[in-house]
Amino acid sequence: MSDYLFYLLLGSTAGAIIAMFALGLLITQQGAGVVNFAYGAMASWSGYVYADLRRGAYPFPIPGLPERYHFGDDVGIWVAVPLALLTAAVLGSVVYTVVFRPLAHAPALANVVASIGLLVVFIALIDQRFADNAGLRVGPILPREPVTIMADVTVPRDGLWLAAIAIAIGALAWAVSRFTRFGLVTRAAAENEKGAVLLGYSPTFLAGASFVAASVLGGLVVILASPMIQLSSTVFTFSFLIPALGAAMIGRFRSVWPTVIAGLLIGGVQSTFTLLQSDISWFPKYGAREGLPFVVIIVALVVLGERLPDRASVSTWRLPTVPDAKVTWATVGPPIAVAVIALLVLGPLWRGAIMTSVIAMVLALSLVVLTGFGGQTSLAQMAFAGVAAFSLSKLAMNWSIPFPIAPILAASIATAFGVIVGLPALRVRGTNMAIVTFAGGVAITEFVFKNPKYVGDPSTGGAPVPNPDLAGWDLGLILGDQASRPIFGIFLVVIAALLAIGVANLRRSASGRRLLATRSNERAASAAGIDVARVKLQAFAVSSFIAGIGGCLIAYRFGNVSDASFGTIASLAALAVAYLGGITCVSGAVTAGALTASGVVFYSASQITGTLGQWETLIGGVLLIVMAVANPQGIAGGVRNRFATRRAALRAPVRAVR
Amino acid sequence: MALLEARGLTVSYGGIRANDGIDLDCEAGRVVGLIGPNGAGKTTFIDAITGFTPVAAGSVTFDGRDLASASPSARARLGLTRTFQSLELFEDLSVRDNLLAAAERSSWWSFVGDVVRPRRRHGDVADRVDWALDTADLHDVVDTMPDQLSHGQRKLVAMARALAARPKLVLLDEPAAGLDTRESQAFGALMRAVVVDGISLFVIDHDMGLMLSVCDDLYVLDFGKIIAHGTPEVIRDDPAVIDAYLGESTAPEQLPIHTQEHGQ
Repeated sequence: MSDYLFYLLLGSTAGAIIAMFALGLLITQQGAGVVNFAYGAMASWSGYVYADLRRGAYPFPIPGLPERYHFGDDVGIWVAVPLALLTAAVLGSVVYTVVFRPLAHAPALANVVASIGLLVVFIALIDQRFADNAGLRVGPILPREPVTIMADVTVPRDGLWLAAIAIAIGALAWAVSRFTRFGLVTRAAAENEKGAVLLGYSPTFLAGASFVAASVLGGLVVILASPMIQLSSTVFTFSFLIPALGAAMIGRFRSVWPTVIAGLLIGGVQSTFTLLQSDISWFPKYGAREGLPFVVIIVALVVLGERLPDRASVSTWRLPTVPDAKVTWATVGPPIAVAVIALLVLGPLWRGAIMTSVIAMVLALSLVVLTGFGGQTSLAQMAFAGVAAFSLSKLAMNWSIPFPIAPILAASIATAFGVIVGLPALRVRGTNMAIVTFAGGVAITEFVFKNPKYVGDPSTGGAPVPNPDLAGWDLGLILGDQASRPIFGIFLVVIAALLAIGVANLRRSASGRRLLATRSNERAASAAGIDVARVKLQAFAVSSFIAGIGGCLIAYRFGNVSDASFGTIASLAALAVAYLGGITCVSGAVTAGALTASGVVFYSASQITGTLGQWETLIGGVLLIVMAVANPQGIAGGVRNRFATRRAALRAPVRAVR
Repeated sequence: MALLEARGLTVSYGGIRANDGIDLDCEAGRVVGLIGPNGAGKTTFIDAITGFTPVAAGSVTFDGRDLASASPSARARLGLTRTFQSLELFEDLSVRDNLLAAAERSSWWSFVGDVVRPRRRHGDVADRVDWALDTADLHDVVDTMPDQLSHGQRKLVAMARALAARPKLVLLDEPAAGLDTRESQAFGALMRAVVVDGISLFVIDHDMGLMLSVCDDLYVLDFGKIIAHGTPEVIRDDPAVIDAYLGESTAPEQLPIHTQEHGQ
């Protein structure tokens, strides 16, 4: 048993980070009504600022400015910590003022998208400013010398210190919330914003203050933990954020102690998995760590019921309007013709950009069905795509199943995963569902995609996939010495067009009406005889099938499948770019495809400016935030609205004359 | 046997019995009304009948079938539909699509066919929807979105949507609230026309003029209990009803004939 105690205590570092992140998420949710998916990424930046200061430089987060200010030498801990925390405070305040304040009354999905944009921006910033991650070592801050708890249990002291700090900060947060007027008013505002206004407090001030407080807390956590946990752009962004979301849900984004205790426990239990994997033969070797937060989140939602304060739940989960779909030669023909001609005429780099765009369009289509029509959300779309891609490799290589059947079967397997991850949607809505799918996607990624049993040996480039071959007609991208065959591009366009027509048809059909009815009003839908549960699961099924086809297309393009194409960031980007293009219609998916990273828009822009490439992700993230704030309808929706307004303006005088 | 039979229907919220042992029948081909002061439990009764709120005790039988295990949508598919006080239209769908969504029936696999042939119609769905549009006189606004309509038109859409599947019984939750006298009379005429077409109605409303003129049979609810039942003529003169509405020792002529209260 002492072994387990050892690992449990060893997990105190992770547990403390999770607990304090969860507390930060709770503070932001209570104060501003926002679940900030970028919280870990923001905190990472402060950690990097500290690390950089300790080697004598301060990094500027704005492209175009000089990369850093050089002090020359280590500024010392007593300068570095306050400066890094000040950075965190400014960051929190700027992020609130620029991003979340304008979105205070926007659809909750716009908040989710904006925070994904932020997350992308901070990851890109870190990858740009700290390209030499490996060289960044941080000296110890907390006392390190080992401490002996029991006869044969000796652990480093710093993890226990961090846990003690987490508990102390938890106590502080609890006391502030319980005994100060500020805490009381914040709690009141979380229940009822108007009430706080009547008491003479500005909700804007409360929200801004909570962002600053949470950001400083996050920064502090990462700084203190950075000597123990190697900094990277993703470890705090995802690996600790997702369990923190789980812990915050246990505390219902409200109660401090359950949140802190759940966070500490998750970290400790995750740590014992190392031992369980060697003690229990059937214990999963991959994905157990990431699976735990998913299970915690599901249990929290099922057992405790859905209880995010009203501000961020159903009532504000409004979505852009859904235009009618028109499938005619005039709407379908020109885009296909343009794409095919461009594929035949332009060079291989352009062809590559077009292929990237077409595949991204397919993934965006999957979200048009799920989010645009169905009102559900998924941050796991690329995980479904990946399941199909790996299945395709198995089906085609191990069982020699031929071309059109193998990808359809593979997408059907993705459908099964989609329906399973979608099951919580029967009870859970809006932002909570975003959290569920976020955790579910990561669990799939780690459980399936990192497991050599399913995906083969990654060192050989991943699982191989043969070229699509239609009765002897090879449609592959590479054949013999031809490295970029246009026929593969045309194959992609045909598949995408078929799916697009299918999605437009769905919109016009009885199923589309049921989806939209359910999206509009679940109560009224069931009163009208619509089986809401079935409709939601159908939305997940259709959506993950399309995503699965998208995954197969990616697999065919690269000739093999590796987990790099199907990570969590890719899933977030898929939702973000689909929202950006316009999530409620097929033309929005086409726009999304054009806008995707390395797609046609970025490729042509980089042809003009030359140097855009390295800032592509960052620009994408910023664009996303700007779009979410300025144009919650998406680009295609915005353009359509402007046309509609103009048409109405033209028509109005005619009617007046009559 | 009546079309709808509630027996000993009891709904508790916390310790409070919002409905307490209600016995109520809706005969086919009739308009049955339920009146009572605010907070008497009228909407709770509709919620309980349609499966939107759990029933603590008692039973509901519809068309000879016990509804205990039926979900709200299953009840609607059996021919028991309702409207909402707050209308709850499908704001993302045009008026026609609002009605179609309510009239169409689906299976687990229907979306597969829909992807290929979106405009196919099943059975007489189009006829039913046209009939509902005719009845509610909505043909001029079929392609309009609900948020472009007047309040009166929105009420008609809510009614037409409940009719679109040609149910056996429609429960109307304050259909006349917010309508002026003329609109309210027109609504009364619409209700009678619906009954002539073979659909039975159950209605709760505060508009006593409407209720007394349009209902064949009236129940009076107070503090969750039925305190009177009879024809409008009987109810009009029932002393218990007068008490419930206006307190003790009030003359019959002071009964509120036309109140315009909203909500409960």
